[in-house]
Amino acid sequence: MKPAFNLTTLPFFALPFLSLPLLRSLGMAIVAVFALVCVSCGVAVRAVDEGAEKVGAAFQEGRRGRLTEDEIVWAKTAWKYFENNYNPQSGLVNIKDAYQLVTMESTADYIVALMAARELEVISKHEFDSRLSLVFGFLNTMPLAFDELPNVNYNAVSLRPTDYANNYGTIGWAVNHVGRLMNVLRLLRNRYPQYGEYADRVVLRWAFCNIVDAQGNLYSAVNVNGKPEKYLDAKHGWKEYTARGFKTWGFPTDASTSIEPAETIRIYDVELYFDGKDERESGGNNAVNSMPYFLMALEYGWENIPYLAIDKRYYDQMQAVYEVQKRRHEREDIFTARATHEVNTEPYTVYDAIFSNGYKWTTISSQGVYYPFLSAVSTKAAFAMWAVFKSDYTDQLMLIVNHLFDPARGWYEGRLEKTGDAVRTLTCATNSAVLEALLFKKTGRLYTRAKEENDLYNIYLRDEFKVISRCFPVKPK
Amino acid sequence: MKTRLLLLTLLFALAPLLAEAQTKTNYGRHPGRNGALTDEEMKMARTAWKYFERNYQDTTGLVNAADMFPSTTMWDIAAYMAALVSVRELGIIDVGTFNYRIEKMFATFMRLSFFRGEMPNKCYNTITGEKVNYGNQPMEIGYSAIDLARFLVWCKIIKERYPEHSDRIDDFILRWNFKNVIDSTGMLYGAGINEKDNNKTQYLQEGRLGYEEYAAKAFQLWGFQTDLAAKAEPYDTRMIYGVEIPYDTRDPRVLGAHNYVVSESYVLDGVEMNWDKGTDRESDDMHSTDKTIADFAQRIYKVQEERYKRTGIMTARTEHQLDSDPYFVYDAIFTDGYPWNTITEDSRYVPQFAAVALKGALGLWALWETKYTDALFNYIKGAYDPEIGFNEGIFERKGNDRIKAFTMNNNGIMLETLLYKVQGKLLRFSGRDSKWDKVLRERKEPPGSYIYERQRKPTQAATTNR
Repeated sequence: MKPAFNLTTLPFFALPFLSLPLLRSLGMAIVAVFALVCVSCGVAVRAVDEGAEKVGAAFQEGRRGRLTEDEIVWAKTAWKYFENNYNPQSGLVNIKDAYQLVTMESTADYIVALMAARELEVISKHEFDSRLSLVFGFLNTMPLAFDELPNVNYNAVSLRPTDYANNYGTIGWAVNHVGRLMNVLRLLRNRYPQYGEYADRVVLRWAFCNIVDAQGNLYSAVNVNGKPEKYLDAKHGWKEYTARGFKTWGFPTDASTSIEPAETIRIYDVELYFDGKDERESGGNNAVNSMPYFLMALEYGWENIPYLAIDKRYYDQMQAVYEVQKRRHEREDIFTARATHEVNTEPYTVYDAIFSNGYKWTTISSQGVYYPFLSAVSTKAAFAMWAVFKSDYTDQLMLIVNHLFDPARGWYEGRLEKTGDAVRTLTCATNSAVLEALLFKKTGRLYTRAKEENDLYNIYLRDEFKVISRCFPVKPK
Repeated sequence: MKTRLLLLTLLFALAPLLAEAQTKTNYGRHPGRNGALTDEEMKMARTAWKYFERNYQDTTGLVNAADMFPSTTMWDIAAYMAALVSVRELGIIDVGTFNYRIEKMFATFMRLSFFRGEMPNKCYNTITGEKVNYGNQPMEIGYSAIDLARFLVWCKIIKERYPEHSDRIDDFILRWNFKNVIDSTGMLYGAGINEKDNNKTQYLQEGRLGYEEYAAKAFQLWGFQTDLAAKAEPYDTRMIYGVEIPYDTRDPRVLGAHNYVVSESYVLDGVEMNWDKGTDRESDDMHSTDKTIADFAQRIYKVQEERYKRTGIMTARTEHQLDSDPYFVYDAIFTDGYPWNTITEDSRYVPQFAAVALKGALGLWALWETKYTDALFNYIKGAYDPEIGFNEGIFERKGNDRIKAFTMNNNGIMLETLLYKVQGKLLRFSGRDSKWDKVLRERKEPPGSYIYERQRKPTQAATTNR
């Protein structure tokens, strides 16, 4: 038996990011010193755990520095999507090209795109402010499902709640979407404290009694005869990312920040976790793919910030998700950067996974139907991987991705594995991820620390009359 | 003179010991359990034989594959032959009964109508001997390379053990037309009817890891070249309870054929062929020459023991029948992406039908002498009806009720497994020159070459019953 790929070196990756500005200013000298330190660490680890292989290769350096001219073009191209799909009546941006619908997830993606466009100087501060104002306006007035939480979908023009076909109606909430928005609002309010109170108000409108319980289990809900019927949602990968969103706003999330229950699968001697809840019983899928791990890395870095405590194995998984895709390219000569992506035909959304529902490198619809011809190199996964892992592999990967755009409309979803043709679908998620990856390159992780005791959110939480019976975290006075 | 006398005396004194040594050579040490059957085990054999008495059809000499259901397949007929040899060797029936039953059955075989004149059909009615479909309605539906292979193994075992039956067995097999069942690369093909293409015969690659290698060896026993099918590839492994379990990587989602990993194929390979190569005529039983399959068999055992240790669930997984819809499940260690998966032919997940299969449990018991297989034996030994034979299995679900189905395959495999304990590898070579060998020689062609009258390219699609 070959030894499993086992990432025991992760704490050391955190080192360069603890002192990023310093590192940048001192340049190569520090990098060299760090490399030396890490080599010795690697040896020590190897002595303890013989199962670990390629300890040196596990060393991970994010891609950092000023944007090149090409990269500035990439950012401007991505922003084209947000220009073309902007609805002036509402101020919101379509989830897909010319499809006038938004979700909390797509709204969060838009906020990220706004932050990136501003900091990459694609748009002015004025444009940032005027666009963000409209988003705040929407988030702080939108009708909530059951007066509790944001509905899954809203019409991007009328801003009324809609169902999956964009017809008016309340269908329930999706905990992953809410969690993504909570993460992004946290990034936004810490990065631009001047807007903090308005971000706080978005969250303060909601009621959390049915979405998270005292143990930290996360629930989505569907509309059954006008009442929410909640069900345990979020599987490994997005579950922890979502939980981190709740955690940043002080909610208990122990049951969800842990990767348990987890099973493991070994692919090319890399061990990966997947959700232990049997999807044959629970429905849905247990897709393991790039985005939740790489978003976590782009947004929160490699530090295991105690405040945001999350299962260390989640970071192992982030490494493993990269490593296994790299190895697939090495061993099979297939460029691999997997993510859930959209296509223009049935089934529209494909779970294009490293592993899902029993199979590795599978591509399935939400119904579990196998669509092997829709496997693709995902643009957003490639960009995120390129930013988080500075390596020969991501350099090469970028060569087959960096022209996948329409200069007037933005970045395509990806490139099909079986044919080499582009997936010419345009989405908010992909164009936002391109901008997010480029922003990461310029500034490092998106999360910044901020003093939070005297922000609007905490002032409200200390006043028990303000958030009565809506199950916010209890704060001592 | 004095010395010679002394030597003679010594020889006389040693005679009983030498005789014993002789029996030990015949039934030498073999993996797993060794020795004569205990009273309890003999009782088990007699109970299993009940099935074959109750379901015997004197019109054809065939036995129903499921209790009171007058239909059978070539695979199940092999289980009957295994049962016959076992009860004869264990002294449950006498030679006269054995011969009568064999003769009766082969008389039916000599007038058996084949699928489109090529090979025995997948199913036959046990009362009339007619070709039937799985619903026992008269029609021809195709043939299964895997089923035929198992039949070939037992024909070989019987003709090597009992030369008096060798010619009638060869006469039957010489009626077969092998030209489409094996291609030039040594892959195995089953046949079916393509309703979308003017009901033409459609040949589809058959066999997945475990069964495919067993079947490939079966054809090798009769002189055919099945190199590609005999290879374990293409396979990958899935780690289950720390054991790397090999599974066939031909994709069930694309090809339709499930890649179930079960005990049965490895148990049969062990009990009948000692995990030896199909060409092996030499090695002793403590030495398996098909090293890959022998290694895989160890893992198949280990992971089931490990499951019991970790979860407390008695585990002996294999495909088995049910007493109600869907009637048949692949109750696998691994299949179609999942460990401990139980699915129907059309891929429905039916965990409620997971069971300890008796044939699987007894197979593990015979081939691995461990505390776990002791426990398995005690778990299953009472699961019988004294009038009918052994139940198909005991459900894993709450209540651990029995599967109230009784089959020839289950009772036949249980009998041959018991005989394995006494004798070891059931396939014993006589070294005799048989009619089959002579006919092949007279054609002045190397064995198997005449099967390549029409060389087919391997097709993409595949299907299998086993």
